[in-house]
Amino acid sequence: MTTFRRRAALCVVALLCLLSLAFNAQWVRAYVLRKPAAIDNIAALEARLSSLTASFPQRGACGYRSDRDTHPFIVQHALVPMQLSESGSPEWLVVNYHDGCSVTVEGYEIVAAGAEGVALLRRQTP
Amino acid sequence: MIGMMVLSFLAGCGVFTALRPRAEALSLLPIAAGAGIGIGMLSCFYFVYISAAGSAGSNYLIVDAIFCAACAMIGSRIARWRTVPAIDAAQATSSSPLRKVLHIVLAINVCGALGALITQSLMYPYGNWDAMAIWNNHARVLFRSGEFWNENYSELPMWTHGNYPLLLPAFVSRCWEFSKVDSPGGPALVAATFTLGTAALLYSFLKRLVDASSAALAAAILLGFWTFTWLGAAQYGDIPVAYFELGALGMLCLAETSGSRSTLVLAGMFAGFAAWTKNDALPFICGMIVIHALVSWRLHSFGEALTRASILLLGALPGLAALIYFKVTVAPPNWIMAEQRGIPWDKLSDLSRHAAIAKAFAASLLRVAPAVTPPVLLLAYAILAGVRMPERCRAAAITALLTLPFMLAVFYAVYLITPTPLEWQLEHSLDRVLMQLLPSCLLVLFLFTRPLEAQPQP
Repeated sequence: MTTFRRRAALCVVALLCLLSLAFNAQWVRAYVLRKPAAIDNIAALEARLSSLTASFPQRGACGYRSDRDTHPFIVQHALVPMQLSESGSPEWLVVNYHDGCSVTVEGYEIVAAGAEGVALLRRQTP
Repeated sequence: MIGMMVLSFLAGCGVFTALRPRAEALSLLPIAAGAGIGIGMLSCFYFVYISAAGSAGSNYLIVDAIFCAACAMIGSRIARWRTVPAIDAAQATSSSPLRKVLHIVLAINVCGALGALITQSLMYPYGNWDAMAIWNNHARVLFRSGEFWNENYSELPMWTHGNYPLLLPAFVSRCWEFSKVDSPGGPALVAATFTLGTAALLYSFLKRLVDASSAALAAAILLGFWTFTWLGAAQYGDIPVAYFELGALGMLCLAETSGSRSTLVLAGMFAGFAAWTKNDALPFICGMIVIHALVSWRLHSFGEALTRASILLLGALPGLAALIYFKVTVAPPNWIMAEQRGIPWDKLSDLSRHAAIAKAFAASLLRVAPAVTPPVLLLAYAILAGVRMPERCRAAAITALLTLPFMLAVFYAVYLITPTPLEWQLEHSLDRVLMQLLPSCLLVLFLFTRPLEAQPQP
């Protein structure tokens, strides 16, 4: 390898290193500098959810069969009406939705909502 | 939860040490490879157990622990019979300013990736879209359904892709069996293992096959790809696929370099687990084995080609057997295939579809954006440093080189016939599926590039 090519290759290596290091600025900007309070909101919601789910049995509950679906489960999808029509109407719902969307589930009221697309809903009494 | 990861890690390390290449002494490789092998094996084990017993039940914890202990003990016993030569003294001790600088860059990026993984997991504890809708959702169905898991799983709605294999859901559900609660910590831990494990695997392979500087540069570049680390932190299935595909190709190279047949079993095992992770990797295992057989036939003999293909298939057996059983007995039809009515000639002959896919591929592969290493720069590095043929693992390296364009062709074909709107599908998945190939691309690139430091040819 000639000296010129070696130096050019080393310059490219230096550029590759700098670009890969730029990734750190990217994630710090995306996570650390953006809405730091959101983590607390999620933590508070999680704590409330834990206290609620702790009173329900974990087993035998699955979100897809109406006959066994009497316990809270995580819908985790924006297609909530589709889920509900297939699974009956559990008393509690935890819904994850895209940031910027609003959650409206017919027959349910929002009990708590985090800033990062998580909401806790409860079935309205008739 | 961490205890469960440690148990599976010990089992994976046991299997790795039993089958490792003879020249591989103490290094990062057993840790990087053992973590993934353990997750793959325990995922298969959990799936087989709940299939046979109906549900995990209370006995599962004991059976699982016995299985892990047996794997670790048998592995260490077998490893004692095998001679492990000392590391080449020159390689172990030599150092240079370039090597030091590259390792410092790598260390910064490892810390950065760890920070990104932790903060992302705190902010989005359930992962992002695919993690919520597919992987963790499936895990939750397995965990919460008890004896009704098969029934419930078969009835999953189409949008959640119940046809996807179960490596991730089964392993996460197994972790939840021990913690007794489906906490978000399990999937986050698995995601971190695969993200950092992929970088560790790439580093280990290149350090062994090329040199430490190339290894550090490649691993730093991989972690510096924002999309890669983000997808890992978001708990997407593409990063585990990337890990297993890299593992398969890297082990193939190590097997040939060391002349170890048992390491070929490991290569097959990695490929099998890739297929057990996601449907996208099924063509990978077929392509890799067929291409390696053809290259071995060309460079060696038909008998050698047949032997290598058989050993690879043997290694892939755990993942493939679990996959076939799952597809036959549990999984609903594949959504892409289910909506096809014969050969879609109209789509295949539609030039606008070809143009749209080619344009999207070119845009993704040539993209220059902040905090993204442009692939053109990597190619420039290879050209300036000089291209070489890795003689000691020639057949394996050529296999890796040919498998990557084969996989790109497969992705292209899938986009061509996809039943969903093409633009939407390209926008939401192309960058993601290309990330499956990124670590393997870096392996191939540095394998065929002359190292900048004077090192003996592999």
